[in-house]
Amino acid sequence: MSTDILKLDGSVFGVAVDQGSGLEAAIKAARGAAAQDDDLLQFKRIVVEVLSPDATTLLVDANYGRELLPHYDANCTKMLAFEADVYKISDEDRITALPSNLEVSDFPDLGAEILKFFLYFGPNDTAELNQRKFDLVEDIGQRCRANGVTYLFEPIVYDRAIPDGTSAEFAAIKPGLVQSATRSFADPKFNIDILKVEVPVNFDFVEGAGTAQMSRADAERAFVEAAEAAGDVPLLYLSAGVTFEQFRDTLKFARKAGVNPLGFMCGRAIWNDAIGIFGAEGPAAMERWMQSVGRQRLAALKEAIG
Amino acid sequence: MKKLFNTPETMVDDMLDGFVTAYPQVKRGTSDPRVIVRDSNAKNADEKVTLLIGNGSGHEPIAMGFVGQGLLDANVVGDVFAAPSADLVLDGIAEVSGKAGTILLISQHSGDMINGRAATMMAQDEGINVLHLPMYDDISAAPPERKKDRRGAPGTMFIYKILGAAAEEGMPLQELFDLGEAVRDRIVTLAAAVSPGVSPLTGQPMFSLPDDEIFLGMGVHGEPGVGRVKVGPIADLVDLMVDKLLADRPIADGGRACVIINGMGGTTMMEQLTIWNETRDKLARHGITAIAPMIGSYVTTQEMGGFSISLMEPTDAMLTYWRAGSDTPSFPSIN
Repeated sequence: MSTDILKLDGSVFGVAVDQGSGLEAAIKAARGAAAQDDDLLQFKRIVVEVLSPDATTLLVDANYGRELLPHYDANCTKMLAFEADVYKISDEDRITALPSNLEVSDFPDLGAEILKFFLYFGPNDTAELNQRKFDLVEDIGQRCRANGVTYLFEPIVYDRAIPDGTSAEFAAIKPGLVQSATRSFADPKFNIDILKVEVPVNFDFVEGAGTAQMSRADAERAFVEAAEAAGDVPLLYLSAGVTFEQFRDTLKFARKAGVNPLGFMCGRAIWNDAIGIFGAEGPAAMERWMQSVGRQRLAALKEAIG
Repeated sequence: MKKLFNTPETMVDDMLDGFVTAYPQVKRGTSDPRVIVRDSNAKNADEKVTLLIGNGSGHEPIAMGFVGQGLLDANVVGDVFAAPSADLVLDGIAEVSGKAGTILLISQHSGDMINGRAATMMAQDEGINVLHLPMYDDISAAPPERKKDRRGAPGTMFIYKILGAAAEEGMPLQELFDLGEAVRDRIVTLAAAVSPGVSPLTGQPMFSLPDDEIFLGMGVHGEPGVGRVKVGPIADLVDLMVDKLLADRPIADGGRACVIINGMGGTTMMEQLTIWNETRDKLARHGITAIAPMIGSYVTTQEMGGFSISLMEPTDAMLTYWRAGSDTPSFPSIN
C-alpha cells in the first residue's frame, strides 16, 4: 500500500479529533449545567464538517467513527483509529486497549482508507515487553495489508526511570527515545505505511525558545537524526497537545533543520480553544469560530510546513 | 437516550458486583476482579479440561452468564466494547488451568484475536498447557471459501455448550479441541437488524436505518451488513435468511438442524418465538427437521432490535452434548 491513497501530491495536512473520554470530560466541564448527552458527538461533527474540506485527511475514533465518516468532505481521506479509547491502556505495560466493536476488515466497507494505531513505547523497557508490542503492531499491520488498508502507526515514547515527560531530565533523553522508536518501527516487517511521530525535542528546553538546556544546533540535529531513522517510511509530526503557536513554530523549525516530513496531524493545537467557545456559547458559536480561527490555523500550519 | 448506570467509569464493575451476588454459580477470581469463575462446583483442573473466553462487555448475558457446571470455567470481562487485554486473559488462563489443559475460546473479532493469541503464547511460555480455538460462523462476513475470515456470531454458543458438556465428561484436551473445530465447521449464522442499540459509551445509536428497512447480515456491534430489505411479513424474511444459510452450508433432505434464535436485546420473546416457528416451517419445506432450539436474548448489543438464526447439523454425539444438563446463571435447558 502506498501513500497514493492520500490523494495529496506528497503532503498530508491532517486533522485529528479521535480523543475520547478526556475530551468528553473537558467539554462537560466547559458546558456545566448546559451539558447534553450528545455534546461530544456535536463537537466532533463540527470539526469534521468545517475542517475536512481543507484537510487532506481527518482522523476519528472507533466509537464515533460510524456516525462521523459520512460527514466528511468528498476529497478528504477518511482515517479511523483502531483503539478502544485513545490513551486508554490496560495496565502498567501500557498496551493500548483494542476495540471489540471494530474489525480491520470493516474499514473498506466503512470507507476508511487509513487505520491509525497508537501505542506507548519505551525503548528502555524489557525486551520481553517490547517484543509483545512489536508482535501487536505487526499483527495489525498484517491485517491492514490483507484488507488493503493503509497503516499509520503512532508510537509515543516514555521512560519508566523518568515518569515526568515534561521534565528537563526527560527532555535530555527524548531525542534518543524518538529516534530509537522511529528506527524500530520503520522495519518493513511491520507493514507500516506512515509513521506519526512526536517532535524529538521539547522546546521548553531549547536555546531561544525556553531554558537553554539544548542548543539550537543540537535540536536541529535531533530532528534530522530522528527523521533519518525512519528510512523510507514517510513521517508525520503530531501536535501532542501543544498550543497552536508552538506547533506552528515547531513545523517551521523542522523545515529549517532540513527535515522534509510528509506532513502533520494536528488536533488540539487547532481546536482546543474551541472547547471553551462550545462550553460558553454553544455549538453554533463554536462552528463560527472553527470557520474563522480553526480554518486559519490549519492554513497557517500548511504554510509553516510548506 | 437515557441509560441506567452510575458512571461510565464504574458501569462494568457495578454490573459485575450485581452479577456475582445474584448467582451462586459464580464468583470473582482471585487473580483479577474482572475474571469470573465458577463458585463451588468446579472440578479438579488436573482431571478436567478447563474452558474460558474473554470478551468486551455490553453483550450480556454472554459470556459471563455461561460460567458454571457443564459450560465455561471462566469468563474474562473487558470494558464496554473493548477486548480484554492479553495480560487479563492470561490471568484468567492461569487461574483455571491444570494438568488436564485449557482451551481459550475466542469469538473472532480483530481485537479479541490479537489479545487472545498473545495471551495463549504467554501462557505457553509459562508452561501452561493451553490451546486457543477461534470461533466464527457469520456467513455475511466472508464467502464459504474464506470461512476463516468470518466473525464470531451467536452460533458460537453451540461450541460453548458442546465443548462444555464434553469437558465435564472428561474428554481430553486434543480430542476436545478437534471436536470444537468439527462443531465450528457445522455452524452457520445470519443476522437481521431492525433498529440500533445505543452505545453506553457515547449515548448515541450505533447505526441508522430507515424505518421501513432491515439490515441483513449486520454484525453484533453494528458492523456493516450485506444488504437491506424492506420490512414485510416475518415469514418472508425468515424464508430469505434460511435460504442463504442453506446455500452456504447445505443440509440434505431428511437431515436435522439444531437452531438458535437469538434476540439482539430489543426484540421481544413474542417475536422470537414467531421467528422460530417460521424457521421450523421453512426447514420442514426443505425436508429438514428443526430440533433442540435455543431461543432468547443471549448475545445482545444493548437495546438493538433484531435477531439471528443459527443452524448446526449435529452428529449424534454433538446433539447429546448440546442437550446435556448445565447449571449456569443464563444458559437455558435444551430439549
